[in-house]
Amino acid sequence: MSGPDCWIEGGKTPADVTRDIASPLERGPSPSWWVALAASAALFGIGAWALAYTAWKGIGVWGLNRTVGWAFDITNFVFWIGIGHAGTLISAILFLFRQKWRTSVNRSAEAMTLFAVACAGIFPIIHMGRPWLAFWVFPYPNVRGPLWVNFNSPLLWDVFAISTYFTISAVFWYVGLIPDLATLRDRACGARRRILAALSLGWDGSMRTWVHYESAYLLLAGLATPLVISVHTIVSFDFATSVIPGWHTTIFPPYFVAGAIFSGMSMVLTLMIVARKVAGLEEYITERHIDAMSKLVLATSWMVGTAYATEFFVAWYSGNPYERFVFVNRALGPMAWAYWTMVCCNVLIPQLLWRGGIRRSAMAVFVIGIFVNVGMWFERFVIIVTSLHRDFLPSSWSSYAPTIVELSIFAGSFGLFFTLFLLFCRFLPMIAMAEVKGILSSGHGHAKGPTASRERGALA
Amino acid sequence: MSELKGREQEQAEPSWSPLEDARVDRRDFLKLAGFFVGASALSACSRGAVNKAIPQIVGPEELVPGKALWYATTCGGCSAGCGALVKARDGRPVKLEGNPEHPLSRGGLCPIGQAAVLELYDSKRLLSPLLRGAASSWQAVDAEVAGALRRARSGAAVRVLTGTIHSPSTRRAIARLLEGLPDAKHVAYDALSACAIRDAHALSHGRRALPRYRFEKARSIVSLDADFLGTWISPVEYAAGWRAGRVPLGNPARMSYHLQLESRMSLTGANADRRIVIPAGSEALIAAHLADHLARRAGVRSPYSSLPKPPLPAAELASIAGRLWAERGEALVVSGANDLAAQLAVNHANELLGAYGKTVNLRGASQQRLGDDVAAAELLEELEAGKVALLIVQGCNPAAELPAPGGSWERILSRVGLVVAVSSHLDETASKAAAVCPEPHFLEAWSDAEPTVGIAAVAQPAVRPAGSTRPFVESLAAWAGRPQKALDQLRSIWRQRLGPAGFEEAWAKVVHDGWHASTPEKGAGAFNESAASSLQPASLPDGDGFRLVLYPKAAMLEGRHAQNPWLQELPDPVTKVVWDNYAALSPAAAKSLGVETGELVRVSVGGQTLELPTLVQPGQHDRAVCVALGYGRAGTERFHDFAPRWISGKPTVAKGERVGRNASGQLRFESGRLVYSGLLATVEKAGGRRPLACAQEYHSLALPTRLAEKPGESRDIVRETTLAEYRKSPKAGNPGAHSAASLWPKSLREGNRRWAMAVDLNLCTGCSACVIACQAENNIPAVGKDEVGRRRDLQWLRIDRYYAESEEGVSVLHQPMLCQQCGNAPCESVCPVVAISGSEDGLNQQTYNRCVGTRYCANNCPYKVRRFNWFEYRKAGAAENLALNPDVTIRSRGVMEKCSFCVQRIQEAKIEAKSRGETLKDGQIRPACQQSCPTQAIVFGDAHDRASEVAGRMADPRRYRVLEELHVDPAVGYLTKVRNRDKA
Repeated sequence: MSGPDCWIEGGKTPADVTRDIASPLERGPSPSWWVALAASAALFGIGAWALAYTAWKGIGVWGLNRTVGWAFDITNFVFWIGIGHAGTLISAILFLFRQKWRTSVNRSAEAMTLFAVACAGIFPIIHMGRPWLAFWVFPYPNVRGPLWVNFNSPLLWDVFAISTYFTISAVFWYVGLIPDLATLRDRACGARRRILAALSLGWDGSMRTWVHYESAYLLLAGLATPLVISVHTIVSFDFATSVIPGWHTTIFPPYFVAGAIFSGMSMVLTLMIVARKVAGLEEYITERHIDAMSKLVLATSWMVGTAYATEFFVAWYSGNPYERFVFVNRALGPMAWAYWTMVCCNVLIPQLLWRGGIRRSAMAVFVIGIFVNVGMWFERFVIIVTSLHRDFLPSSWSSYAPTIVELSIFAGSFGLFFTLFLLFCRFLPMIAMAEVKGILSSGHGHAKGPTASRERGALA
Repeated sequence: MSELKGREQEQAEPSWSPLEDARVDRRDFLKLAGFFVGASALSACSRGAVNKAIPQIVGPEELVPGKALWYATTCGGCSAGCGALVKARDGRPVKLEGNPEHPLSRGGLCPIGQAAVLELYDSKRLLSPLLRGAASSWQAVDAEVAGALRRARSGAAVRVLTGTIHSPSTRRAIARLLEGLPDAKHVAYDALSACAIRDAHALSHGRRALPRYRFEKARSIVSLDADFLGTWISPVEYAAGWRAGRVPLGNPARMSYHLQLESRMSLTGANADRRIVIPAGSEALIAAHLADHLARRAGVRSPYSSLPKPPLPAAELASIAGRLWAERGEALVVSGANDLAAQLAVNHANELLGAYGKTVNLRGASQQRLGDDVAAAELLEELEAGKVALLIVQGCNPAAELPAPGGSWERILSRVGLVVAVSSHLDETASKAAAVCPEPHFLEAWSDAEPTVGIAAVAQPAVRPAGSTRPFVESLAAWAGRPQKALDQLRSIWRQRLGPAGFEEAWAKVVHDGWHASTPEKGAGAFNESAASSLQPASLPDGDGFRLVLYPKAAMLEGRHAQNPWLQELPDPVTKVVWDNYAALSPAAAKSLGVETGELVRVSVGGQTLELPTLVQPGQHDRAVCVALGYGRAGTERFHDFAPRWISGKPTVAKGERVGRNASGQLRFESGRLVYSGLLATVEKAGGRRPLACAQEYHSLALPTRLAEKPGESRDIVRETTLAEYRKSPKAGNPGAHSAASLWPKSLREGNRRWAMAVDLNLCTGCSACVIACQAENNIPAVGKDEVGRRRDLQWLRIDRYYAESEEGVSVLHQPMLCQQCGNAPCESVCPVVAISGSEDGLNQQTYNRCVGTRYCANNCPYKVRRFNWFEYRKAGAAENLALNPDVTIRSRGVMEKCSFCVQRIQEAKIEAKSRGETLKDGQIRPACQQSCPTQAIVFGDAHDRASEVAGRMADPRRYRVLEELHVDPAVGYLTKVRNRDKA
């Protein structure tokens, strides 16, 4: 049952897979789902109030000042963008590397990507002093004379990077959904069937369809792959191209990408461990999956750990007194608690994952995942706030504390994320049925690729 | 029936509508409907229509819309009488600047003068007379006063209590009112008294006069607690004079030597070459010792038989005396102590140094402080005894400034038959007066001034007075029974001064120039040594009790301008605290009391207690507790609603509370004179906190010890050296930046202009006149205490203040910091919408309309000089908005702003030159900060024009640029500060 290629437990047949995954969607929601949705929506409501309050009063309702011009806003932005990265990594890169275990988690991870990017997208807009003019960052023909966007500005690169990322991720996710939507369509009747029929774009499960689908999926995976690297690289340019010590660092692109995958994987783990329990998908998302993802977390933890060390080394080696000070100030200054929280959560605690027993313990990995998420949020906070709050002129040194409004917006972004995720769990298959069927060990013996089994999957 | 009929008629009328005949199809209908719905929706989005737009049928003379008119006047902000120019746009004064031709102020104007224009549009200013608290008319008030005067003719006492009045016309009007009354007296006092100086000269030189100090002629200055660069008597005049010796010139380079002995940390002490901390109240003793040492040097008999032990080593005193003696004839000793013994000793020292006639002039003496404490104290006794029938109070606020006998002004004023307060606000005195007579703002009325004997001035109105106010001179004339317009009174008195022959031309010239010089009368009599040394200074009391020092703050002085938000929000030049006063304690004293900045302490002097937040002040005497006067003033309750209101926002003052606490209750009369310094006080921890809002959070260029690479690691943001080092190499203290290859394109070609600024740190005293000048010129709102405490002040130009500890004690460095207009500007490249762009002449131009407010530019600014509109700070429709400069855009919330090098002035000068077909000349463009600087520390111009003054300063070996190594190519240069010291 558990050979090296066997990622799904319980000797499932394709029909079992369809039933296991599709039938909960066809039942009514459970009371616990309603409770969770209400809680998430309430959280989102608080955030929505805070956003409206900010838009009404001005950015002054945040704790920013003339020295620290960004704090919670951009921290949350980078945090959410980072969360999204695991989805693309799992769906695109691991697909290209033919990692079979990805099939159990890729759908949720991709959904997570979309929702995280949606959460992230709020922040660049709302952090503006005049958010109603946010459309000015798009280069569109206008009647404002020679005014055009500034292609030198990393914020503009962000606009392109994030909108591209969101578009490709959405398309990729939707294309991946089509065979499963067709499966659901085939099982449904009435209005639900008509909606699903429209959404599955007339999928007929024929060989031709599958061939076109496969090549489209492969191409999209190819397109999405550079985005895993590019989006966070460009986000890191927001800092790396500045002159502020602690931001102006060439290490940022790889450091940010590794950090993003690190945080994204942890978020996937956190969510999946809960979801598999609640939705009873333990046989699909197995300890082996958790183990594999934990290894990725461990690896990326080392990458960010190395980046932290390298930053300190370079600060010392460069001989730049401002740079040196920023890093000493991070570790020993007034915000050292944030720095050491980050180090503990991102470097020290993940080392527990060296032990196989811990990697395979869902509870332990869940807790570690939470720590990593906290740590990665603090990483962005440390980079942004501790670099800004004490820069060149000591006269401008300042401190920062968030206001209730900022905390509410942050909480609200989680509310939005969980609301969307809960809706997703309710209405769409959490696990890519068609893909999982391709790696089943039962039935047709050991199918070689996903293609052959998908065909059946759609027909099952 | 009739309705129907009407309708028929309507229909019968010929059609005017093009739609009537035309066939309106569905598409046209929709188009039109769409247009009208859209148009009406859009028009509904605008603010309400202006209901009262009344055209000026008779416009003011010479007025060209959009063109500024400049009038010469005299600043009425305090009694220093600086020359000022008023800029009026469309008949509305919007800016006050120094008059460069004025012989006293020489072009400078202090923060208070700059901010006075806002008070013109103060919505809480009284605009019509009040009688017993109710709105009244001038006739009713005059009748009331006339009744009291009738009683006075039969012997009842009449007292006119004023501040210093050096206006010849006002003095004559007072004299005319009082003449013929059997018991009438004009009593003048100054809340910041210099009475002891005048009394001392009466004894030593036979003339009760305040000398005119000529700091420009002094090569060696010893100041005993005289804050002459900040608050003492006439700071703009003194700073302009002090400047003369502060640029190291010649070979070997020479500078004046400035020694400050003081107990608190004053702005003047911050700028001294050397600063010695002395116990509060020891000025007389030190001055006497100095006179004693000088007498020995001069080889004359010491004026004092025996002197108590001085609070500093004898060798120190001997070396100070030696330094003064070496520069005799060019030496000057001043003291701010209102203590006769101290001032007599100072006079003695100055006499021995040959200062009279050179650095201390009794010929052309100053009239900037004419108050007589002894007379004021007598008046207080009379008031308490209920002997006064009519009290007219003008230009002062005794109920807030003087300690009431028995503690209650309410009580002693109720014993006066009739109290008439001539005041623009319902202040502490006016609110207790039966009649309140509002005066026009000094920009609304004709007046004159004679700040020093021989230098007189006429101030002309720049705008028609608001409401029904009446100048004091007109009130006086009306009460004297001879009503006469202020202008007529002025002209009659000036006819005597200028002579009847050719009066009209001479008068026109005086009005145009704003000042007039005449030969002053003869100087003082001979020095009377025995009188001068008649008063032996007392020895210092033993014990380690605290000594209270009551002092004025640069922007607040005695508190007359407490309702001016610009001045309340001007960071104190030394402490950087805004919107409050506090008990300043030295770090050691604070430690011994177990208090930190913001924690409340109780300061008690003879039963009078005051609870104030602590401020830990380095460089202060350990036994001194220093409290600023001028706070806790009536009317400042209005600032409760001042700051933006939001969920965590705190009001500037709690409801019903005032800004700061009034410390004048701690003032004492000792032998008839007000004592500000040296009173024994007890200080104890009170528990609780009142957070102070400070515009700066970290106060040193040295890094925190824990974080420094090696102890004392410091940043060379402000460069400093000593005169001894400077003589060795003019590049001393200024190692220069290493040049690096650049990837940036050479954006500013040599042929183009490059606007640049050079700030001489030797000349900059940190007085902050430029900060208010910038605020007034560029429509920068004040934001309130909480916002400043959150470090969101909006002032484009700030004065950075750093403390440095050395063997010499604590020294202070000031550095004006403004947009550096970088050539390779880090702000420009990061804006996603090009709201900031570089101009051909080197300006970083912020386009407010384009800004979406990402704040990336501010984050990426190494100098942190960009300012963000966190809230909408302007209130539409506020009267204060009339002070806005029409040449500068108002910024909405969410928009970034910063110093523009006063681009509106650059453009105006360019257009002017172009329309005249001339080329721009160096010095033609003066940004607001440069214009107002009393020491001309700031020079602006084209750095590419090699003949320009700024290019000259840029070529100075002292010149450096802050953070030059970042390669941002700033356009602002700073000149290394050189202190006249042997070792750092």
